[in-house]
Amino acid sequence: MIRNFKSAMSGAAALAIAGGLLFAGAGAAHAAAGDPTFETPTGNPGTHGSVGFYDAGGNQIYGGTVSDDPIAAYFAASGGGIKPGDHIATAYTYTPQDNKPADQWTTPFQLTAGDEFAAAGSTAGYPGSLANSTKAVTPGFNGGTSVNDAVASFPLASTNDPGILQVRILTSGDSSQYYSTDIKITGSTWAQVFPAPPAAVSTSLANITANPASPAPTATTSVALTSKVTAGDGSHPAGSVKLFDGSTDLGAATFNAATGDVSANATVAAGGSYDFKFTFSSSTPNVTGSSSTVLHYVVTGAPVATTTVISGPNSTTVNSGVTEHADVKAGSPAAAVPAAAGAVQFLIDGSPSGNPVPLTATGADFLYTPTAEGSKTITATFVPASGQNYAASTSATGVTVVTGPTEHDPDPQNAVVNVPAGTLVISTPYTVDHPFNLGDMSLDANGTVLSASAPFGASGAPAATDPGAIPAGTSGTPGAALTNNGVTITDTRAASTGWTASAQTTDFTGPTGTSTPINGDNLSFTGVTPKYLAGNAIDGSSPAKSVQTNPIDHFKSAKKSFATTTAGPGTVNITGVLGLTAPTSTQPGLYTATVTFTIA
Amino acid sequence: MQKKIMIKAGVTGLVAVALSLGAVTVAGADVQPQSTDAVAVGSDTVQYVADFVADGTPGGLNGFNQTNNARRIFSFDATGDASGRASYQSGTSTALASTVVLRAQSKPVIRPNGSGAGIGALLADTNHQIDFVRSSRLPKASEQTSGSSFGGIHVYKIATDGLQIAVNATSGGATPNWNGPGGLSAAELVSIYSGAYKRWSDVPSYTGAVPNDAIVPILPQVGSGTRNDFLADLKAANGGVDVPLAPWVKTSEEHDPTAISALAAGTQTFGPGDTAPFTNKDALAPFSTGRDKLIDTGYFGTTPAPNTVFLLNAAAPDGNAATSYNLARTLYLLARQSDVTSTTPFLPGGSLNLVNTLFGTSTSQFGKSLSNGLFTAAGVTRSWADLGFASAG
Repeated sequence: MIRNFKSAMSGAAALAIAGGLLFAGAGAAHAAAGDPTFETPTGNPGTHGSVGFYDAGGNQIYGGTVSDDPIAAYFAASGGGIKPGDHIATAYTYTPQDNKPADQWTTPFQLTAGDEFAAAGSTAGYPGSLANSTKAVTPGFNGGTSVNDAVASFPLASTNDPGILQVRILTSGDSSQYYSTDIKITGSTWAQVFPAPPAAVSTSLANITANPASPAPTATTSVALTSKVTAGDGSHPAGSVKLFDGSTDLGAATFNAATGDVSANATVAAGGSYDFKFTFSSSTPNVTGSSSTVLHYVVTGAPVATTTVISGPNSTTVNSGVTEHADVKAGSPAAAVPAAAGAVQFLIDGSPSGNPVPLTATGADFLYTPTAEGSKTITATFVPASGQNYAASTSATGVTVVTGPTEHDPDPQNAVVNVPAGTLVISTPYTVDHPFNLGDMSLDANGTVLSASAPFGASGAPAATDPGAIPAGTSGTPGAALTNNGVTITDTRAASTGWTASAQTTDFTGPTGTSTPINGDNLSFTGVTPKYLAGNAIDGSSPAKSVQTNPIDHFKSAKKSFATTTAGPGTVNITGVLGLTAPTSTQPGLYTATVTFTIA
Repeated sequence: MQKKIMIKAGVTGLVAVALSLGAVTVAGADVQPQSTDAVAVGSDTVQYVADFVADGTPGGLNGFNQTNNARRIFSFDATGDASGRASYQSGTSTALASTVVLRAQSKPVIRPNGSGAGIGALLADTNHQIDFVRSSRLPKASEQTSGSSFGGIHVYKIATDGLQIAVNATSGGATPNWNGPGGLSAAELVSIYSGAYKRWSDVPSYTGAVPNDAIVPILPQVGSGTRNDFLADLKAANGGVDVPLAPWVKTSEEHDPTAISALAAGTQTFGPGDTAPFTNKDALAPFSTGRDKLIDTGYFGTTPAPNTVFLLNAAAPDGNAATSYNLARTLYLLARQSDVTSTTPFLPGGSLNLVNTLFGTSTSQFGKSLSNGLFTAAGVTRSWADLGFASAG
């Protein structure tokens, strides 16, 4: 539609006045004390919302320097609603003009080229929260778009709002509708003033704790440093912490944002002096950074005490070497110092002998080879290595080595000896001619059985190496005083590992005419007891030098063991009681059996 | 908050004045600049660059006027047609010199059409109605002399463009639909425009289908910087001798593609008994590369439609141009030196005068990199330089 511009301008002017009157009324209620005078609680005429400034990482910023070109890496509108169909965002600065409503300022300075924001994917490549944003975002244009450039074109001349510059985003060709944020220029910096940025949050870093503490022992090569970040509002701001030694950046420290804990390890060296400091910086724009107080740290601690002990042979002969050993320990409980701790200087009668011997994991050894007879005292002194945090020490006592005359050359001779195999003999004093006499069998009180018994060997007599003898002319009369040692076992075998003694009997056969013998199984050998010889290898002084015995009966069909030992060689007597029972039907007469004692 | 209804004071390019071939036009009541606005006239070649820098693009990029209501740029196009076409007297092919009101409360004057006309209008503008001139050529030495009353004509380079040979294109396509070769050299153009080559058969190595068709050379109107630069270039190709134009060389509004596409078939008379037929497929004209790009974006809708013409880009038959004729051109804005040194701020609250606000510095509206998109939309490449009192010819 073609219209006469003059009348159109008049119309526009009339509207402008009306707008101005409205503004005058609205402007009386400023947003807050200190806010730009043209701002109301809902902003200034024409504004839909605010403009946010973002750095290249997509983090919102609230200030910068007047030479920053562009002012911000990104400008993003927020609040309000973008007019349907708008799709190009362009940022400008406007210099306030007193006595004019903001939407009629004539001081635009273009900041960005105009960028697509509505088309799908148009903001996909923007950083941080700006990526795929639905806001009207326009990247800053590098090249003559700093605050300095803006005020060079439109100088700050407002007396109502000195130093104030407004940043706008337009999304259409209607410059009376926009998004805006006011910044204040102070010297070489600018800061957002409306809408007011979030209140600044202060932070602090606790004093640094060092482990080990200063002064650290000379051997210290690493120190663990810890601290804690605390925010003034009790929050846990994200950020990063660096460790410094003076002005030297030692790199990032470990920072747990959830707890504020800070830790780092620093390399130190003996004799070193350091000024450690943590610095915290936050990625949140309204969080101020902080630094800890400087921790002055030195590595000059007192050395660890040691003890040196020398041991070894105390005699030798001329030209015959002996090895003396030194142990160096420290701590409590005492433990060997590491090999790198140093060396041991051995001394002979107080004079160093040879070079210090380097420590090993097991100490240090010294070969002493005397060249003359006499007595020398060997001592040891621990010499710490350079940089090792150990104190020197000397053995409290030494080893006095007595050196005897040189030994003559030996004359080796051969000497031979035959060690016989030895024998193992079991014997009793009884023979065929002098059998063991059980005596007369007697009927028991019930008249049910006949029995007889007699001691086999004199248990009360001292032990002897022989079985004893039956005096000539006597028979084995029970109770007779005989040198009767019962069963005598003599083992003379070299490398003997013991023996087992057994017995087996036959039936007792009667005189001619008696058809029923007395069953040999009715014979028993009880009370079997060893008699030991004093001084003998088998002397009963310990289980290993004893004979184990047991009674036996029913040893007709097979021999049975009554005594055994693992000791040997040696001699022992075994005594006991032989007993026999017979049925009452047994015919009278002299019955005879053969008892065979075997040893193996 | 009350919404204000702005009445948009569009420049001529955005206010379509009804024009068509053969229709009598009435200069409508176009918007008229106030005394404090910036007014520009002149080159057809440069007009769309100025239109976009002043008023933004259909794609949504803002121009100067989107944010400057108090002081606006009024860049009057070379013709009264937003599509850059000439208007004609009813029923004739006589171009109608349109008029324009350069300032509110002043009378209509002949609309300067072209660089020469713009410079001439500036030199004759004793009432300072014109602030700057669009030009596709440097001022002549004589014109600099004539401008001594205001300190001379200060020249600012703002963009680069190309000048190629336009021919009829395939309807709806991007291929040539003409009878000539795929490319032409400067030497061949000299022969064509001088009349040495009347027919296609006169062109050595011509292998087309209509050797007997007449070649129809077209030139922009007198006063056009394009015409000036093209003929100067042909002169250089002609050994420094002006190329005498053949009588059958036609004239049309520069960069009007319909001068080719709408050319009615006819018969060219070269001399007694020497005639040859022609159609629009035999026509050629020097044409702005940037203008052709703008046409092909569909900016003009169907008036003209994209690919109305095709710019030759193949090898010339004589082997002297591997990719056909292409003259690199510079686009300029010209201002009075007295305006360059003025201490009067242009914008309320601003510190810079009109020239330095709009085009006199590398950070001005035409000079800054932020405006690249506006130049690209017009089909040209922004390239700013202060050329002082440069002249040529």
